[in-house]
Amino acid sequence: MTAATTRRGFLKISAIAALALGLPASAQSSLIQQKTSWALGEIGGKTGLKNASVTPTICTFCSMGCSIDFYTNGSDIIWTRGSPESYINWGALCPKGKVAYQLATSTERLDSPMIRTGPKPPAEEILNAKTWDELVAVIKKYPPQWRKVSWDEALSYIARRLAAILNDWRSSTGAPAQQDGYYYIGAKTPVAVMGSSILTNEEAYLSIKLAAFLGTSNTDSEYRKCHSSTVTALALTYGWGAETASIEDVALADVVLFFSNPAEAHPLSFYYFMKGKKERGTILIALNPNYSRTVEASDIWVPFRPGTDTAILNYILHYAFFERNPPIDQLPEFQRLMSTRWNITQDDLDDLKAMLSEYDAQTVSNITGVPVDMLRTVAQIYVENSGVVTSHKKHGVIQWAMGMTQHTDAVLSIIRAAAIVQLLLGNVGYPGGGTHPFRGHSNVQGATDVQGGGLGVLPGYHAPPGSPFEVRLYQDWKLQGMPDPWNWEVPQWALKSFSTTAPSRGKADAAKALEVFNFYGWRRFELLWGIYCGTVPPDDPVNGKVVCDIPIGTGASETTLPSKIFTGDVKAAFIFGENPAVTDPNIKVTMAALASLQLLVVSDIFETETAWFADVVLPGVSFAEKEGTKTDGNRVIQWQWRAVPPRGQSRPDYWIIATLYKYLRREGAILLPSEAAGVRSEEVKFRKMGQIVFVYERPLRPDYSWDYSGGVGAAQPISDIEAEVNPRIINKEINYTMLIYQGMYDPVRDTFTTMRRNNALRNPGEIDGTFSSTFKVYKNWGWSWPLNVRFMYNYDSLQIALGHPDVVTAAGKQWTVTGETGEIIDEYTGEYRPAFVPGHNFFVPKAFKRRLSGVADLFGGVDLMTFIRTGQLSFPGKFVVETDGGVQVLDFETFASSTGMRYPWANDALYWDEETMTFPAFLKRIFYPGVGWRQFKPTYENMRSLLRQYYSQLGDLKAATLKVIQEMGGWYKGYTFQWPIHAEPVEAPIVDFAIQYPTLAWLNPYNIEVLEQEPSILQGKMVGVALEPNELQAQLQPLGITGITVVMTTNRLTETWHSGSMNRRIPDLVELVPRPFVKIPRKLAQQLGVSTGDYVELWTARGGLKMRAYVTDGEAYLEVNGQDVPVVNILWSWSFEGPDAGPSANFISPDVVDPVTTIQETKAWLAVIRKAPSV
Amino acid sequence: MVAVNFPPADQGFAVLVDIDKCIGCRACQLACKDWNGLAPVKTTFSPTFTNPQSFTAQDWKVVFYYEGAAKKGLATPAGEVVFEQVDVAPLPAQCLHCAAAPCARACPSGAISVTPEGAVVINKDQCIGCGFCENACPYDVPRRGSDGKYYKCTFCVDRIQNGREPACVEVCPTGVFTFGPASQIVQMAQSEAAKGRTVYGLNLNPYVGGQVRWIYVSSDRKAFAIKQHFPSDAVVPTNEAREVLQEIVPPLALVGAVALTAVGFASWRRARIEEQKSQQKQKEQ
Ligand code: SF4
Ligand code: SF4
Repeated sequence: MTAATTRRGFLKISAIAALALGLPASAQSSLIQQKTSWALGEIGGKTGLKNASVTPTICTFCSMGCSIDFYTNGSDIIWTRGSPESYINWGALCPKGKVAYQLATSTERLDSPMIRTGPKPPAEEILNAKTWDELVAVIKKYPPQWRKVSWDEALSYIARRLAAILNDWRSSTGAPAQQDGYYYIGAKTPVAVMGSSILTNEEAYLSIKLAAFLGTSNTDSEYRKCHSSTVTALALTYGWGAETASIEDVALADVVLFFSNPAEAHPLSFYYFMKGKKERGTILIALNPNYSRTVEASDIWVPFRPGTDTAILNYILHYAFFERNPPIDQLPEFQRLMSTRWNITQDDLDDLKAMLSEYDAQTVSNITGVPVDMLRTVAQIYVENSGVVTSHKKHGVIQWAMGMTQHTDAVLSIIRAAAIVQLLLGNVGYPGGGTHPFRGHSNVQGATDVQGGGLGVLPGYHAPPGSPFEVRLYQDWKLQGMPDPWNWEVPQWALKSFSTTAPSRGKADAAKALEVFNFYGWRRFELLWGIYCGTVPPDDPVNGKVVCDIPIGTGASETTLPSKIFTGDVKAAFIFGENPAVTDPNIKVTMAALASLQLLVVSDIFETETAWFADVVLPGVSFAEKEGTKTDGNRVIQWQWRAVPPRGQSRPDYWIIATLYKYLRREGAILLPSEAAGVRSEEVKFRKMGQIVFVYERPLRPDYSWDYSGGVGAAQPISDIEAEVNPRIINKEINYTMLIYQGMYDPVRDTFTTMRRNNALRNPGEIDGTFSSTFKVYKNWGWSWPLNVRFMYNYDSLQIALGHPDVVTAAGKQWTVTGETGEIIDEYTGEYRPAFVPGHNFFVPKAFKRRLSGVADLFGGVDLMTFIRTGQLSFPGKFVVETDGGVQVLDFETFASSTGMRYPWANDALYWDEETMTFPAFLKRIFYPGVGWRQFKPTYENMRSLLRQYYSQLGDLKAATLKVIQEMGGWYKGYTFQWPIHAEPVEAPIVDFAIQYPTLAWLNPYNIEVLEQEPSILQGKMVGVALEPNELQAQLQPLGITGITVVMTTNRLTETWHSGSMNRRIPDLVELVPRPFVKIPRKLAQQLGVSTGDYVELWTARGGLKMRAYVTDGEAYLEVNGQDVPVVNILWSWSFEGPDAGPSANFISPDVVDPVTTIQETKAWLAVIRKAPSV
Repeated sequence: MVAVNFPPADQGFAVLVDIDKCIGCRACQLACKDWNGLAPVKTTFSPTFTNPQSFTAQDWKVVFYYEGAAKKGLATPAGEVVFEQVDVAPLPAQCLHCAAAPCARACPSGAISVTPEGAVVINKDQCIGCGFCENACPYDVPRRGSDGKYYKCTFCVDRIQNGREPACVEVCPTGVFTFGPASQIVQMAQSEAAKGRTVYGLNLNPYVGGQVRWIYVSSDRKAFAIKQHFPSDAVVPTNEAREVLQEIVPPLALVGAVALTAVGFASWRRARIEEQKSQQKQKEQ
């Protein structure tokens, strides 16, 4: 044997010899030593696992909140797996979560800041593109030609350019100086700050704080386009715009209606759905035009026409009230709930029933395309398994996502209908009866919370001051000692502009409660941001000058931003971690707008399609390279640890934004109104017994509020980057600025409650112990808002399940509870006590009581800015108490020792009692001034018949619509929209229905802009809408395009994600689904002569594109009102960047929006389809 | 039949695959690639959604999707209502780890070991790339890599020998796979069969040892996937004949070997391909 003949070589040779002899393996055993044991990780090169350190992170994709353990060695990632202890994913992951680590290792990551040197694609050229290929050709003609620069150069460059834009604007408008003081009208400041649902809470919060300091209300984020309609419709109905219960709830349901596709969009939710199926035989009903993987796992497929959800939901109630015997309103449980928890009278109910009576099975079948027997089966199952019918032995869950939210009638009709069905069937507030919108991104709920849902709303949903008047009213409230609604007296002078039924002290109504909730928020921002909002002098709210650092009024949304850019109202934009060039509808318009900005700054981890249009691109980090909190879709806030250091020069967005602030400040881009007014401190004064009492002086320290360096105790910075900008300090700040997030930091014990990873259930006797153990709810894991409540509004579910109230011992007392109470630090003992006693109810904690009303500033006047940074407690604020001897001003020690209240700095002495819980669900919520259904009905009939008349006269639905609006003085003029009614999408497949059920879109003038192709740059371009098939065909005729008209809807898959900027750069995911395609029903394919894999063209009023067709019986081909309606489903996560590029579905989707929240209608529109002439 | 050292079918480990629970997410497919360090493969549009469309040297686990028709019953207050509808069933597939693996018997270089756990593992270093395993496998599992060697699922042998369940088992969100001692798993499968569910993996052709270690169960509704996916008989007739020949006519082995290697191999391979095609056709019908 030569030296070269290794043992392995020898084995080969002998094997070949054996092969030649045809000897089976067994015959050669003497020649071969077989390997029979392996070390862990030996096959895939992961033997380093043994010595790896393990760090839990939170998945960056969907909103389930799965934990991913990173096994690392220094900055090397050896392996990742689902954390076995997480109650959400118990060690499992979906494919995206499994390979999410590749975002940290991808070689395509941006590793340095970059400044554009190439020209931007001209807006005109972009807008002229009629096909996707034409658009890509235009864009690629103008590459950005990046120059890599240092952080210092990039940030200085941004600051200089922004300062120039803003100083120009300030000197031409005089802002922030106004007639009656100093403040910015937020919508007018020509800057927009956008993003993002993928940031941590701390980052998203800073972005909105930056916007406020810039004086702009033009703030928004991805949530605009996914669940803004959910947030608004639910908030206005129940009090909070969020999923009502955490994920454990769905396993307690007896029936689930999916109007969505969670098996693909939220795979781990199926752990709990399947648990329900196994343990109680949950019936899963999937309503979807597409045979998704959720349908595969469901008991029945109910294909229906996109955009007709309201009709189905109304029919469920129709069945309950008119077909069922006895009708549900004769059931005692219905009557109990109606008299105690819903704000409706018998007359209101009659009005609702009058509306519902029109949604009989045949009518709804005609609208939706669902056969009557199937509709009735669904309604029967849902109603018979409901809380009111079974006296809470059983409940049903409605689960939805974009399929419901992206419609022009999403807020007023679709989601309102879901919310009302859940209420009237006695499901909401009872385990297994949740209302479950599944949010998209890993932190979309958190971003919504910490950004107040956009449009300049403040963190924690405190609306910004709407006018200088409101600031005056606020100043008066401050003078009253920052009282709760019950202790607030609305001053006489304000009553002409502020309407309440309970102006005097001692009483409160919803108007007062909601206003105090806003005031209370502004005060928190003043204290934590070191700014001022009020009058000067402070003791003259009526005549003083208004000086307010919080921008006044709301601003532009993400979907309406392009039009603001075209008109020059917005000149600069920051986009943090978001990709509107793919995710906006009608993206040609968005791209043209982005290209028209004077300054566009984008931070992201890859060069996204949006970055292509940027002036400066800043390299952000992936989830694994930063720390902070994320709020999952059902409000559970979890800590995300940093597993590996940032790649190259990339930095977390908290570092980017806080550092950017310093540069903007240095260059003079930021000028606060208080500075312009020369206000350096606030003299805090209370009005007591007719006299003005000086309480203390509060220095303004806006720059200190941006100093997040250092950190002590639990907030020790984890690395040099965090030592400069420490997210743990930001986290503490959020804990104090946002009432709903209060509790995520425990200042008494110096712990971050979001870091808790304990999957033990609580025991009876503990706070919510019986609740946790009875319903298997993991309350010791992380923290949840509000005040760690997991199943909201469950006021008495425990009492009903047990047959008696439960008793809890906490903070040295016994508490009798009937539902889930949540917990709050007790102001006397510093221990936890139940918060919402006896159980959480609608609108709390928006309505709260405060023991320090009229006594002290928030949190007892503690210096919070210093406390969160250094841990030092000091009390510049004083306590004003009325005694027999008059008004006394006490320091903290004296007050604390005389009252025993030692911890007001932890909880602001907030509490909730029966009175605070009396606000019922806003079942009869009105959205517009006007009348109820029965009174509106004749106007409605008139509107329909005029529309029909003008349409037949003019043959043009657009013209007919505009004529009706003109003649009637508005659209749907006079209806309050207190009840949801079916309305067609803007692009309706059946003209008869478009007339019979007119779209709601024209309630908002923005949509009329879209209809008329305004602003002027859009005139003559392919960017509009076609209201019905004839109109679309007529528009396409000059281009020589003919084909079959179809209803379009958009879709994504387990393997794809949103704009695709992440999944298209993960080769493992690309392997599973390379390039986009459209799903078309087999019958349509036959009509078109198309086989699976062939290319088809889709043409709309926005242009055309070409994709492969996936032919299946699992796509709806419906009969609607006797007419064929094929549905085509287009995958939308693609665009022109990255290795897996492909046509963007949003190139052809319409940008008409919901009138209330401006969410786009991307789930139901029209296209003409034909076989592609050539490939 | 020549005995390679196979542990008895009720010893070692096995897995029960309940496809009713599968949501087709393909986490298992990627967990397999991830654990085993398998490179991404360039794919194109898949007419069946399955992608890659079958196993590759870099894809040892593939989720196959089957479209069929199903009867779906719903419990209503008025009794059960049945709707007949289209259905799609995902079927996560990998090497079935036959109780007596024909690939291991066929491997002339002894590169395929069968561990006491029942894992059938191709040892890359010993593989000579002859493809006998591929031809012997009734499930079309072993695939030739670009280095000429053959690759397939190892039963995550480097995990199960070190106290962990296979990577795909661990990752699955809905608990489709139950991994455990073969005796227990077989019993579970038998009791599922007794409940009337469709079971694939027990009572198979002696060619695979009568059973496999990855046993599939499904309800009636999803059974079409099992029928479409698995061959009606777990045997490769040409290879079976060859084995029989070797066993009963040892003196002729030399002649047989020469014939096979010289001419026979080519025709045998052709026959095998034909056979696979016709099986495929049967499946499609
Ligand atoms: S994408 Fe969602 S379901 Fe998948 S691992 Fe991440 S959090 Fe879990
Ligand atoms: S991971 Fe589980 S649910 Fe997903 S495809 Fe594989 S077996 Fe099915």
